[in-house]
Amino acid sequence: MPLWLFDALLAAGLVLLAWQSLHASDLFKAIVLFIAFGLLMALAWVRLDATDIALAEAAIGAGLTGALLLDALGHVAGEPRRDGDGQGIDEAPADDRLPLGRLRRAAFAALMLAATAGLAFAVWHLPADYPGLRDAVVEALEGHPVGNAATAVLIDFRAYDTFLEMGVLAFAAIGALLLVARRLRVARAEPPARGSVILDVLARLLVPLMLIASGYLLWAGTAGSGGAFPAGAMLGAAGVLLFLADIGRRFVVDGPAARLVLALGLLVFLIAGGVAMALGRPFLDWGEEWTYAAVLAIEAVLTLSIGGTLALLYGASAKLPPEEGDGVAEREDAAAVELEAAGGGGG
Amino acid sequence: MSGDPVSLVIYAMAAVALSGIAVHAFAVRAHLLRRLIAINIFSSAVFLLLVTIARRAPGGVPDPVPHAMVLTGIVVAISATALALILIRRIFDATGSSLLPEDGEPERGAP
Repeated sequence: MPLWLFDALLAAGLVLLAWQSLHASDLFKAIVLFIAFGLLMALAWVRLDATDIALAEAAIGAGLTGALLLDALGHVAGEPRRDGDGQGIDEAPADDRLPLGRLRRAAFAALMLAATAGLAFAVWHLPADYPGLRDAVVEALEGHPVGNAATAVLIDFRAYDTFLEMGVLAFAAIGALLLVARRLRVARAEPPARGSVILDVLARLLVPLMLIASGYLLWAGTAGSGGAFPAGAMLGAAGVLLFLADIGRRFVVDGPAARLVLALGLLVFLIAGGVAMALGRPFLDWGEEWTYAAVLAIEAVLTLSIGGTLALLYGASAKLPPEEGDGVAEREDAAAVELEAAGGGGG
Repeated sequence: MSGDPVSLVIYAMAAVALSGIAVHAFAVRAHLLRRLIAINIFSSAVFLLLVTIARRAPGGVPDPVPHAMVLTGIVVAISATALALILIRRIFDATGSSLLPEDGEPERGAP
């Protein structure tokens, strides 16, 4: 089979899965199709010679995102709830199409089709051979102690970008913790799958292997495929498994240690950059003899921080108590929202 | 892959199609979880286009700068997704609905 035929099938599969996920009448089905979409994306990354991305996608796109979405679906798709007056609040309908009317729907579809065709036209006319910044990177990599170009770009050439990206990650986690902080005082949620023997055994078998794999990805990332992002994603997935199996929940619960892990990604760049400046170099400029040590050390801390932040994000969202047995707090919340709505003149 | 131009066109056009159907679904579907899936598929489409563009470099080695951008982008996307899911849960707890009110519609949960 010619390889382009495989690519065509894979691309068609991606588009088909995406369409079905976006338009399946059942949201559970939509999420499962989205997980399958993530798996196919990982295959596409391998075909495009982006193995680092494939590794990260396999752990995140196919694993963590699915776990998060299914968890949230379990929360919002429970029994239809009732408000304080005992009056039913309507559930989200399984068919969540907006009531647009046939004409507006067709007009919008035509508009989107035209925009997509325009994008296709633009992409079609991109030059077929374009090295981008590749040659500059290859030149800079001559004699560079880090063999993996993506790692060198992330931690050395464009360290400032990665530094700020860790800030984005930390802010997302802080936002998540803030949103669940009030609920935590009300009730402590139990992990969703207490008492599952299979999960327990699986976690005990898999988590050590995942830790080894994460360490390997980190170590290999300086020379070949891997690096802090795939390794951190693997570590985060291990943390989620620990949380689900209720084995090492204290590792993924918000506390001083977890908050330090959150900050580590930013701190390591600040400290390393500060040290570089103290030695008379520019901020985040490692100097020739220290590059390898700096990259490896930063990657190790980043792996811990990324993995910890992802596990903490999952733990924070899974810790929101279910609607049953928490009615008082919910009514308080609803009342607060009502007050706000009335105060804002919107009610 | 050898940077086979046929394959590159296939993946680039898949990225274009994915972005089109994702934006379309985002607009015509109302459930917030569905819209979050649409955002995620749209970001996957952008990543796919970036990596395909990086693969055009002649001589077998792709441009690593877009790869680095996509790697960090995937991690940022999952953290934004986690934050959005917590917001969706809070909206559901506060209003009992996973849909946002339409223009002109009274706020759910309001008197």
